[in-house]
Amino acid sequence: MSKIISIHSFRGGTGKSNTSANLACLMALEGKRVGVVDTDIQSPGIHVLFGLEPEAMRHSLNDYLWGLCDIEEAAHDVSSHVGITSGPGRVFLIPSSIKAGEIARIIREGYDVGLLNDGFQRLIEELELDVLIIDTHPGVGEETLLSIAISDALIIVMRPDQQDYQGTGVTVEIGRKLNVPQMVLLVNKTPEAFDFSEVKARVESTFGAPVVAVVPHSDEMMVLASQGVFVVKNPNHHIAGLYRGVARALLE
Amino acid sequence: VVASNFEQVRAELEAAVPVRGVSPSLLLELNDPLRKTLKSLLRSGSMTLAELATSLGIDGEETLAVADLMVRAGFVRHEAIDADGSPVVRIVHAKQATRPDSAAAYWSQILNEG
Repeated sequence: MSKIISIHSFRGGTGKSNTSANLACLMALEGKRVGVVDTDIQSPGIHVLFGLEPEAMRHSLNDYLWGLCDIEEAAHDVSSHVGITSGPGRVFLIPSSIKAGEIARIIREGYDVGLLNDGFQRLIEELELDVLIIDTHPGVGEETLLSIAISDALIIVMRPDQQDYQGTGVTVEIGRKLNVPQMVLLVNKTPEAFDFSEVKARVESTFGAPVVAVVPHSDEMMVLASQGVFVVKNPNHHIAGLYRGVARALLE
Repeated sequence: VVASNFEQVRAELEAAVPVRGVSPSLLLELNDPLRKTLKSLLRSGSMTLAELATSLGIDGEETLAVADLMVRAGFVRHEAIDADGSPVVRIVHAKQATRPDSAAAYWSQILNEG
């Protein structure tokens, strides 16, 4: 049975899209067929990590929501873009439009949330996906709530700072209210000076939910500057090992 | 006296302000087992009356009354029958509300300036 995983953070800049891309690639390298939907319609960006140029987007999620194409027509096989060229695993990206006029239109007109849900289910069927990863918009909106409500697993990405602590509490409460079967926290961009086991214990005790990884701030990842997916370019790096553990925990 | 699931769900549905479809945020305002059932419907799209009864934890003969109240609340619509001949209810999705005027105005201004 396919698994739907939502990756969310209450605030922007936590590394949510990087987490989505890294987990998608690791799962594909394990032989899974993975779909990644960029539901961050107001500020899309994950296509950059997958090396998908805006002019190469035949269709986007926006086109599907406006009835201009079927959802699978907006799916782009980006496996070879990120260096996944052998094995049965694939990564399909459904990007949101990067055109200012189209972003403005969807903000102005809204869209049918039910259509988004139908699209998720159709993607799973048509692309024969093992996993569908939903890269959400930060904060709380209808599309985010839908993603959380229909997910089998929710990863909440946070940084170890006070603003993220408070916002994460809101997301955890929503996840609990919506009875998400598996809810985990990922602490990202942790300064090396911190005691990682203490951070893990503190976060788990604050939110009463398991921490799947405490990922350090990484200069190497910053240097990569979103030009590729870190775990594919650095498979033996300590951080790749951490993400691998997260991917396995989610696929169990 | 503890209310039965049927009494609880009926009371919640009778008190609900009718809406034009279920939005995900509406789920946060409801209580289980109604919330859990609508969440399942969000993913599956439809349920037979037997599945609805199981999900809500109510007796079979109470289900039609509850389904009618759910229709009146704007959460679901009746569909004639599924392939097996069982009556089904199908969720009605709300169109997402448009963003606040200020956001739309902000974008219009950017586009006009561009």
